[in-house]
Amino acid sequence: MNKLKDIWSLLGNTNLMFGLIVLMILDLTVGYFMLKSHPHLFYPINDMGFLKWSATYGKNNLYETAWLYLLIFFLAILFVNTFICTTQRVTILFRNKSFSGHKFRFIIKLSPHIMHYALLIMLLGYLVSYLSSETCLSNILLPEKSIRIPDSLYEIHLNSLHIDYYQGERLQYMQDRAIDVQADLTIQNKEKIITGRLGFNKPVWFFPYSIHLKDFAPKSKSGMNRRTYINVIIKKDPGAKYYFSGMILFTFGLLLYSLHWLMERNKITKDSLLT
Amino acid sequence: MKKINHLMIGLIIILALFNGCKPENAELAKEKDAGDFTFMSIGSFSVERIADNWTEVRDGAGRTLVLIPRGTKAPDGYAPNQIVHVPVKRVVAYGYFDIAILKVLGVIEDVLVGVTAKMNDWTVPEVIKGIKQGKIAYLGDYNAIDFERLKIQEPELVLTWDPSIIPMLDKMGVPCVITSTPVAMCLSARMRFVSFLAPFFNREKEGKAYFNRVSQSLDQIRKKASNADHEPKVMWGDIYEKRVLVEPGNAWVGELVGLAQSDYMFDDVFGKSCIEISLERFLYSGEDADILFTYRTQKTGATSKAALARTNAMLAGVKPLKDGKVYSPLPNYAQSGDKLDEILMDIAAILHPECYPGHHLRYFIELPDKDPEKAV
Repeated sequence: MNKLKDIWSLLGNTNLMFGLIVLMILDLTVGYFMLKSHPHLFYPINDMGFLKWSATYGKNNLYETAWLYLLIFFLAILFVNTFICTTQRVTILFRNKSFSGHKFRFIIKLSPHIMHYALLIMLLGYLVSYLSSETCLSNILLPEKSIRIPDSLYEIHLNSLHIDYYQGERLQYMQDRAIDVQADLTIQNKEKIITGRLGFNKPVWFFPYSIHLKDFAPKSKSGMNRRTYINVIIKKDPGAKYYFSGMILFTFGLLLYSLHWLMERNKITKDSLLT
Repeated sequence: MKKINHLMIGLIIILALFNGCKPENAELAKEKDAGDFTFMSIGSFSVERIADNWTEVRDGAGRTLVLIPRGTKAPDGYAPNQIVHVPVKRVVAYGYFDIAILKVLGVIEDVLVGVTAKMNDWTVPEVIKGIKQGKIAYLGDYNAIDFERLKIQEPELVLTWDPSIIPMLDKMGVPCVITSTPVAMCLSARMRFVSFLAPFFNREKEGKAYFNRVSQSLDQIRKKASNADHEPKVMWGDIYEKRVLVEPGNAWVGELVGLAQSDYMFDDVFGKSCIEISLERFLYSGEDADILFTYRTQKTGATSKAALARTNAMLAGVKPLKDGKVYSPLPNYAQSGDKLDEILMDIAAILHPECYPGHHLRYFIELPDKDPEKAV
């Protein structure tokens, strides 16, 4: 029992967290150079899923990928460390009877811990995402044509494609080059129809799928005469709901924390005026 | 606290050991035998041998295809357009390099049934012969493919760089491999691309022989260049009417220049082959460069430095045109990927002529200052 307690307090130690952060900085520095020199080894992780990537690219290129495994190991310890550390403090807060009758003050005091738990939910979400998301690459959509989402009854139809070409005079080399692209999509199955406008950094969401724009053509009015199309990535990501929930919870915690900070500041100002 | 400190020191040591550097270009040193590997990544491409009769490949766009021997049942979980029966017997190919690799594998005459360049544009004897005999069809320009004609050719596989034809090929039930990549192929990927295409034709041995040949040539270049007494500054690209295109530092030519004890001026540029940069960036490098490799051939206006300067007044200001050297690719350059070792040797001889006395260029031509005057 004592041994368990020792392990519990060792894993919840704040010094361990600082050490982990230093190690993660070192590891990520190595990772930066590995990513820069071997980008092709890491691109597939986004669409293959971590387990499959691990069994292929990861395992066969250990020199270049070891930093990532170490990072996951450190993150796992950080996860446990944050959980234990936060839980210890929350337990103390709950045991503290001075909050009885001051529910609001109690919730305010809880705000940093809410943020910590939110971070854990986000990390969990990313883990779920890397372990179990399905990604379908290179789905080519031509104007007024449809494609079916693999293993589903959904069809995606490209209604229209709007490409804005630069027409200004300030940037000569950008003349007639695409600067923005937006695609109007209809997604439908037997039961429902969804419409959405797709752009770069503006995916179309329809649970449990999301559609992301990867490429399009033509990118220029001059040069190679290319057929009009968009290339989309279709993702089915069960982890999304976790990390979005984590983000909302984190924002809530941050708001409470800001409120706490403002209240403390006002209190200090009032006290200094009185003295 | 002491325990934690010891743990941290231990982990730092593990981190340092785990992330030790691999010897430079170690992956170039030896190509594995076909039976030696279960997984092989080749730039953006990969080949995974799941079972004796089941190989999974990823093409340049990250699409997965499965190769199964003819007459065997496809494993579950793949769409019909992902299944390729090997050895493939009828191929349509867009890219010159893909076709050169078919030649390396010794299957060009047997399997190639469609191309996207006219007969007059070809320097590959096997393709010219095939078109003359009617075995190989010209399917139209890349942006206006005659799909009816393609259907008549009954290809079992299409090798292309243009993803916009995928929906049409899917309808026709023809599997398609994207052989271009979002970032330029590095030297290793260029040399090993043959290992990606070889399993489609059960020609792994031929692929390995080609790799070894190019690898030996690269070793020779490295050895000879180590004796070079200077590092020429090199740029590879061109200024067009509205665009400036160059080969990025991550492209095979950029890597080769570095490997041959030379200084590639666009080493800091990263991205796809033939990437667009600003005019200012090009001119900035042009101030110091000794050698310029232009994309233009004699057919497209690169007959002399003066002719090149006339195509764009800004280009006239770069040092290679004023007092350096400018090289233009010969018509056979783009279609000679099967002789990559000779191309690499040509480039090395251009960079360090003192190391290659008497070398005769076969794929490039040095541009004279002026066009020879026409006889009246």
